[in-house]
Amino acid sequence: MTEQDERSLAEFIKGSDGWLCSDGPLHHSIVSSRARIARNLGHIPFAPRARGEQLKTVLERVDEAVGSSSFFSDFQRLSISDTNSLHRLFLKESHLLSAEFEQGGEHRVIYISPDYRVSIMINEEDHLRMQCLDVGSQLRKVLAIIKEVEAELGRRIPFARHRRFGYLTACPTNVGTGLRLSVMMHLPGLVLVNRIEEILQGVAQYGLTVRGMYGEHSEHLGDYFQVSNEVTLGKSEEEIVEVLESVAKQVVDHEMKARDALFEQRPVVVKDLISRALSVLQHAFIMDSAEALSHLSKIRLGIDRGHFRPLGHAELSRLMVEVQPAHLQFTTGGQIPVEARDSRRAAMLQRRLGHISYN
Amino acid sequence: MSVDNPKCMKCDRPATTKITKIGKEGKVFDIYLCDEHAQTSFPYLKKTQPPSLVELLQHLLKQQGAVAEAAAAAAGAEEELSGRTCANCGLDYGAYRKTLLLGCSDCYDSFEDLLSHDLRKMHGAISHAPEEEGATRAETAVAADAESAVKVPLVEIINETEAAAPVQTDDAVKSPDSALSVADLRRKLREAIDREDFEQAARIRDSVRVLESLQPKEEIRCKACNAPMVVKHGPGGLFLGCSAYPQCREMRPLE
Repeated sequence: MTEQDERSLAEFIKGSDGWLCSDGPLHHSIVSSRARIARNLGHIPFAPRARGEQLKTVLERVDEAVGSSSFFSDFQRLSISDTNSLHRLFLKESHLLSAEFEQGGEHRVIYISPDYRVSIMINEEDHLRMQCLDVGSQLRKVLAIIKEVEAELGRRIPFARHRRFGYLTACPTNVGTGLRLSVMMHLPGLVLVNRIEEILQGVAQYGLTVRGMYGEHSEHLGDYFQVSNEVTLGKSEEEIVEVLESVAKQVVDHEMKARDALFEQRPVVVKDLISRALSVLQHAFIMDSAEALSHLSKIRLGIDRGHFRPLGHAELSRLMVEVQPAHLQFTTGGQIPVEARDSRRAAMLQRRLGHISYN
Repeated sequence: MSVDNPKCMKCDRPATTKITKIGKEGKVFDIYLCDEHAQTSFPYLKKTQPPSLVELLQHLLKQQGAVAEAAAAAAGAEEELSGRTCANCGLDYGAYRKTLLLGCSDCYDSFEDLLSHDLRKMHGAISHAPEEEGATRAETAVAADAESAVKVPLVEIINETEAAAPVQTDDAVKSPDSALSVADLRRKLREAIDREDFEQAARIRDSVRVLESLQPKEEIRCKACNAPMVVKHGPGGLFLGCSAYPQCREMRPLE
């Protein structure tokens, strides 16, 4: 790769969280929505079992399909082997690239739309993993967009489908619709009133799973919870959307009641909590990402009531991404060791929040 | 329906009792019932007097014996089947059990009958046909829980009906009385659930799915009365019969 290419790649990757800057419905509690569809080509082994030349065949067929459609003409194609670990971590922090792709690997490509909302991963666990993201609660919109992407590719590539099991996937947990719909929820209120476990158990009864910000081992990080459907077989896409939409709305109602209750019943305690969080963010010289996320999460409670104007929900969501390791290193000049990162993070937060006061 | 929150198969109330039954050929299946229906369907569960410790232990030992037998049968069956491989990619069923990742699209055909257990655990369903509107929760529960559901050819159920049907004297080109449509099978399914023959209900449920999958995608209308034609199975096999039967007995071949 030439130096020029590397600069272009870095520039492209930097823009990948731009979609978070806008406001979206219910943004005070639903940070983003995502629709992901898994599809495979018939007979060619699924990616975990395929040999190199078989993965190459899949890639060629998808490249041909994408190349022959004007729908994808402005999409950027990134070969994973041309990226480094920092690029991949950045894209993962922007939710465009999966943990599986973050590992790297041969014959793996990601196509990304110009607005960074749609990504198509080739040779992940399935031959094709297509996803659409958007800010706030927009499940129907992201589903509609990803169905268009699927239809456009499906006209050119015959997806493996079974008369009994529906669309076929490497793991039977995805078979049927191959559709995973999810919302990223921010629930600091429920965490603070100690009702989060009860709510999450309630959510599970609807056949939904709850994970942390980046999957199973990141529960409670920044009080972010990713709620998605568990079942993909025997349910229509409409049923999946309806259940997730309605449960998410109920959880938002509970969250807002918890936030209101905190301010009504323990106003001084809550103000103290939020004020301390802001003070630490404004004055610390060393800050790791977990601590930053924890403090930023408290700030969300104050934004609802306009306490931190001009800081709004979109800006806060953006900050919660920017304090993460790859984002921090990208925006402050490149790969740096952990200790130096923690002081850079603190310095960035001072700059971005220094002018904010609790009013 | 999530098996973490099972509902009574006869009414919609939360289930309080799970009964494991062993049906034909040693296949094990579960039945979920509320207190009331458990006691009416299985009177030995009636709580007249708390059982003595000895009675409890005897009952538990009997159950454990039956469950252990079934588990051993299942384990034996699984061991025997682990030698099965996919005709396309060569993945061994035993290897799939370790990773829960299939090798290619053909694995779903190669291991079709073996995947039901995992699919039921993961999704509470064993196939993707979305439920027909109006399908009852009991029917859904039977489909989800009847581990003995075996793909029984429709002909077995038809034969049982034909044995009870009046002698056919009409012209052979008219829809025979013993022919069964999806609606007929659903009626039989409800009857089976009502008389608590859950094993038969599971077999009928499978047959419903088979017949539904054979319904032509484009609606075909009856030439005589313009009502929709539906797939039926009769003595001669599959055909399209008028949905206005018995008022209209038009039929035509199923292509």
